[in-house]
Amino acid sequence: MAFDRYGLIEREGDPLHRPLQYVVDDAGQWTMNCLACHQGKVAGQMIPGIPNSQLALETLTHEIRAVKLRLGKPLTDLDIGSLVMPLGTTVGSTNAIMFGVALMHYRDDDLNIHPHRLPPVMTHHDHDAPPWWNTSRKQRLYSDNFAPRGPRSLMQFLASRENGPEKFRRWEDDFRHIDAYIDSLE
Amino acid sequence: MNNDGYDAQRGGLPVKSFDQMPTEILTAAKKHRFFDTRNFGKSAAGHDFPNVLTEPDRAAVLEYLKTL
Repeated sequence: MAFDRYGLIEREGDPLHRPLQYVVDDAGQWTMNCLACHQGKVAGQMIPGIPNSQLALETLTHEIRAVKLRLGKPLTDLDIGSLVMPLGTTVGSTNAIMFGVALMHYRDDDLNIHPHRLPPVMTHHDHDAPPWWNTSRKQRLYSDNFAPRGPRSLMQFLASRENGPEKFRRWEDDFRHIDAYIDSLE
Repeated sequence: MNNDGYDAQRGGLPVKSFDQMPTEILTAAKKHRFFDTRNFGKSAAGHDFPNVLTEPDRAAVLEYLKTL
């Protein structure tokens, strides 16, 4: 029922019933992954890289925050940020483009973090995630061609405070592989 | 709408249209199930740029879009 409410899809054959849209580490820590927006179903069929038209990210984040506050658990950057930034006001859409604007605003060119800057000016809008097999035809990303294509464009979503500049440099090669995989889809 | 819904007739997700937000829809979670075309950036009025195209050009654009 919870998975349906938030647009999550159970991993096939997983005895622990975990959703595709989260990585779960050995310590039981859940971390949202790319498939939150980028893995859905059409007519009951899963197709790699098809947008998740059922993702209720705004609802999911707001309700997780409410539960954490009630239980006295610590809030994440996403829990706090979503107080002032909409995450997609219609199910199936997200404000993905503004993640980059919001998160990178607090970084310098070397990716060092400057948390005390005033908030950036943002134009919030809901986007549908594009199917991944369209990516190979594009040189820039998003419907307004905001971002040049490449592994770094995929990494903007990691730019929360717990990930310092060294992590970014360490992870860039992994994202080159992810970018190449997405590029290979037709 | 369920997770597996697909409107084969119209080619896309099944949708219903409303003149206004139904009065029984009160919570944010339920409102997010609607695409409110009155909101900024969500207009469904369409575009007028196809008006400058000839019929064959329009057909060609549609054929191109199908390849994406």
